[in-house]
Amino acid sequence: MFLSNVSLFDFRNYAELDLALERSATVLFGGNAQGKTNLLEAVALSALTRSPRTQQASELVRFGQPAARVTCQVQGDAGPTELEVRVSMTQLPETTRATKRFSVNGRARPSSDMLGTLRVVLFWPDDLQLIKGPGEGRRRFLNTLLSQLDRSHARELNRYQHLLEQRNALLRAVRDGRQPVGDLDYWTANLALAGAAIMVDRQRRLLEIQPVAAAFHRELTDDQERLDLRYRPAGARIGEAPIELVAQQLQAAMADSRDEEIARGQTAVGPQRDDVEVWLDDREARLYASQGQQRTAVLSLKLAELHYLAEATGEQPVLLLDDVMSELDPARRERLLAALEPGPQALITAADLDDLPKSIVDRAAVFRVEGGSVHA
Amino acid sequence: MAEVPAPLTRVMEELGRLPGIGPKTAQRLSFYILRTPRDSVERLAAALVDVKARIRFCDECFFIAEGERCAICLSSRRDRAILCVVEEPLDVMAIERTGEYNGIYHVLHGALSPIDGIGPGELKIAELVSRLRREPVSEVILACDPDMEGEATAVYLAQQLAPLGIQTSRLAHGLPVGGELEYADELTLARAFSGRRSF
Repeated sequence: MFLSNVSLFDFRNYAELDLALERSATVLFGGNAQGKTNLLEAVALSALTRSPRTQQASELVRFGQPAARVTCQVQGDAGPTELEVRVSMTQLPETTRATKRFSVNGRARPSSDMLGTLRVVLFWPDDLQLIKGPGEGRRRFLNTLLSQLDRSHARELNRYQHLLEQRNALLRAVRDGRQPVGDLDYWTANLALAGAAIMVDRQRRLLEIQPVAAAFHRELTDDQERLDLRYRPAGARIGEAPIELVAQQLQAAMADSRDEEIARGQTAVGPQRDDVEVWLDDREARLYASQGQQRTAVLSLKLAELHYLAEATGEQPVLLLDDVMSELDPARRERLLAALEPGPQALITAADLDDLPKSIVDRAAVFRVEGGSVHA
Repeated sequence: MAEVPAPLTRVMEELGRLPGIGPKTAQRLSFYILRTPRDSVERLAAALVDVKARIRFCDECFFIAEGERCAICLSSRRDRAILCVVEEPLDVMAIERTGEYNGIYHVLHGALSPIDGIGPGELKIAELVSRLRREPVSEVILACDPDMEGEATAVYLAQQLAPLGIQTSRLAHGLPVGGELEYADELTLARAFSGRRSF
């Protein structure tokens, strides 16, 4: 699988762009705020159905325009596929709402049908916070990886999110005396079941990713450090438990914290509160690792994501490297480049060509990005 | 830019209030109306006034009616022992088109959805319960939508109806006729399996 063409219309700072891509590496260089990251974001949006940078789809539309479009041509074993995302702005009396619509080969599709055609691994400066930052980043790491492996996981996540919003609204209604407590039962039972399915999936995948990440980390640290990933599901003990049993645990946990849930108007347990702890030699990295150690651990996780996605699907994902080379020291940079050698397709951005190793620049298609246009 | 005359602005605003019509569509429709011959605009206006004057909801089942009762409730040919509960009047029309059902209906006018502030009190549920206490219904079919809100409504209704001791059923879930198995989503397929029937 590879990405052969990206075309943009009124996306971020691009009025219009049509860019053919090489099967190997593409380097995009230029100053800040010229559109390098926007181009990578457009590719990630097509692959993942959401922007890794923003929750507000309205930010994706070029200022003052009614709609944006991103179209990606993907060449796969079974032939070409065209993925398209349209974001349109609707003017409501009070606010402006942005709606995303997806199509595959020109036919309208639900978001989950977009997944799995174009798989990406994004590595960008925000990822350096993966270990130190809040749990949200680590959950997004899991959600992105698992959704790309399995569309039904993406559907489960959407379903869970919908149930969660309904239950939280009902918790507030109960708190304000608008509905009786008994009305929670249906939403609680179904939320627990949907949440359990996600947790069991996360547990299973993490057990498989863990040795891959540990192996990369051993190599990066010359056998000096042992990396361990520990899943911390919120409100359940997973182990080997089947979904029904995990759901029972979640339901019991919700029953235990019912008063608190009602007071806050928020569900207290479930996948939206999960975390993954990264441990280095029996110490939790978030608390005890130095910045250098954390960066190495992040690189191990990203390499594991790339490797695992390729192994599990039999296809190399597209690697999107946004301005990270300058953030890594020469040794870690070398290791990242080695991962590029056998050949995932890569889109690499840099402020300056000198930030990149000559070996990459020499074999890549190089473009200068300037003010929302791309020049050879 | 030239001022838009007040009568035109008013039409745009009124049309823009309708569901599914944004400001652009409201503008297009308004200019369409401007170009349309006077008599057909008058027919449209008269039809709108007429529908509000003459159509209301049935006192009994809350389907659309021309008087206090709807045509279905007034009919002597319907089986009053079976009652089908639906979310919207349009659902009644859809079921009527099948010609498969000869019982009576009860329209809830929505489904439970806490996000939208819709609880049991916002739906015609109390009316349903008192109707079932009064009338000789022996079977209730819950035909709520197969989405999360519809499921929640069906589960809630089943709980409310249990003390009445009336046989209650739910519409089957399954594969769409004329569809292809490989295109069905996992949940539909799983439900079609668990709801399979002997041949």
